[in-house]
Amino acid sequence: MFSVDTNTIVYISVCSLLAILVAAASPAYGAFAIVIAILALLTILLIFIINYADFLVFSLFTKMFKIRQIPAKDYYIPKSNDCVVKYVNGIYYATGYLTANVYSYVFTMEQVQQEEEEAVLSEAPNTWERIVSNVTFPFKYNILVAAEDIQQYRETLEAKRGALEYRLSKEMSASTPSQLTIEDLQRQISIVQARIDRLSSGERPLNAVMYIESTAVGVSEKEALDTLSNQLSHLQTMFSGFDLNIVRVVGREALLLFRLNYFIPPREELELMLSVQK
Amino acid sequence: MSIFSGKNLFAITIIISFLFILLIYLLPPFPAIKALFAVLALLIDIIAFSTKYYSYLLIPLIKMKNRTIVINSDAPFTLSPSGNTIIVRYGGMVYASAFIKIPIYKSATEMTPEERIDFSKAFSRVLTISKSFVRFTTMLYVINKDEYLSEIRDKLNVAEERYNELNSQQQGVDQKELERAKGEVTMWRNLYENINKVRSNALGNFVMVTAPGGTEEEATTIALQQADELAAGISAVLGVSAYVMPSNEFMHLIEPEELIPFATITEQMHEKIASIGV
Repeated sequence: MFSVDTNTIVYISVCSLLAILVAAASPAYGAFAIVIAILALLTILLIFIINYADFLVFSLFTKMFKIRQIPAKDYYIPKSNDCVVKYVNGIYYATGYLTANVYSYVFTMEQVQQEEEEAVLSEAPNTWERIVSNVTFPFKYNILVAAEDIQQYRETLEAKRGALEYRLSKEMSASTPSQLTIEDLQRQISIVQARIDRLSSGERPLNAVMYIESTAVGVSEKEALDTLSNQLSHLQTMFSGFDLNIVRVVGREALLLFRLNYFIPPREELELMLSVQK
Repeated sequence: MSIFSGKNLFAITIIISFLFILLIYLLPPFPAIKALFAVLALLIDIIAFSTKYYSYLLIPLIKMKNRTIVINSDAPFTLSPSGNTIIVRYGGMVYASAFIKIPIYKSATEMTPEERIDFSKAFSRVLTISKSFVRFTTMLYVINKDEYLSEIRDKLNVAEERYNELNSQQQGVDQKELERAKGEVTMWRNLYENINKVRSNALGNFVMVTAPGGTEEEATTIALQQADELAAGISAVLGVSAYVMPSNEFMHLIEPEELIPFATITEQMHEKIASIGV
């Protein structure tokens, strides 16, 4: 799901408003009126594309103009924008990244199935060892994690449940209650309740970002990049056994993950940087 | 904070774009000039929106030479004088990162289903120890055999020298001694060739803790303190002896050439040459 925060709303509204102002002055452009109106529309479209899929636009830009970036001494990001390469002693070391986020449906389960959970917990170490024993090249599985304040999280959930229950009772007492809305509200209440039950059973809420990293070597850039692509595809296949959404990281997030090797930036910056390629 | 930070750049570009729009509305009727201003306003509008994610790239993009954008030309990190943290300067702050090793020598295959559930639960609890962001990494890396190989090579050379010396003696050579020297040469050569043939991987678990500070010393002290606390927490939950790693142990976590040692690269090349039948 695409989440829209206040910051994004401000950026989109201001930039779209300027494009509309340009389009509104169409009569002043004479013969160019239609062209400018189309360009203004395309600008608005591009703004939305950049907001939701900037990694596609930026990679296209760097590929088209054959631009490479230097994020640090001895390192560069090639025009494909999907990895970071280190060139030392005549050898190329290409490092690429995969997201490894838990599918969102896991968080919207309506019931906590104790037996099912235990089966998953029991199987997880075995699955993990199977994966590791089938991988013959270096890789890292990273979990960037911070625990949330349990009391605050619980209060937020209870407030949310209260608001949903209020809406449900209002809908039920309406003169023509909508069955669809009632069912939807009941489902949402069950999801929130399931989360509260998880907290009661001793689970702690987490803010987590998971990603996989692999490094390949080559005597030429092409060899290193090709080997890296093979390694990442292999990891994608291997990790499909877990309930994970695995996608190759492209664009500025690859640069951020490269930086995460050396330090973890402040929370606000992390949230902004990792907001799109979920 | 720099004047070229994300929000400042957004404000500057939006004002420029707005000034062009103002000119469109205020200028006498010159359609071609107004159309040109409209295109410029839209272009700057797109740049303004791009600053949401790419503010760090705007100034290096303007300074770009030979299709290369230099974001940072310094080394990605420096080692602290104490040797157990790395220092990164970013956004006017100093960040120190310390690394903790979690030595786990248990295998899931040796555990009963109950033990596996307990282990999974303990690992989940470990993730919730820190309220600030930390990075847990499980890494499959290549064991550096360079040193070991050079030791064996030296022994092989010594044995060969001894054998040649005995062999070159014309008279009074003890045949048993000669056979023993020959056997020794064969043994070291076999060992050297066999070790070269097999790639040895190791699996390790690590945690990275980052702390910001005004100076290197301050950041290092805070990071080491946090790392010590976290290591104690991890040790208590998992029942292992987690410890803060010195630099000679954590370099393979951050430097690709340490992750895949030179001996392995040569080995990979030999494999590739053999597989294509050269």
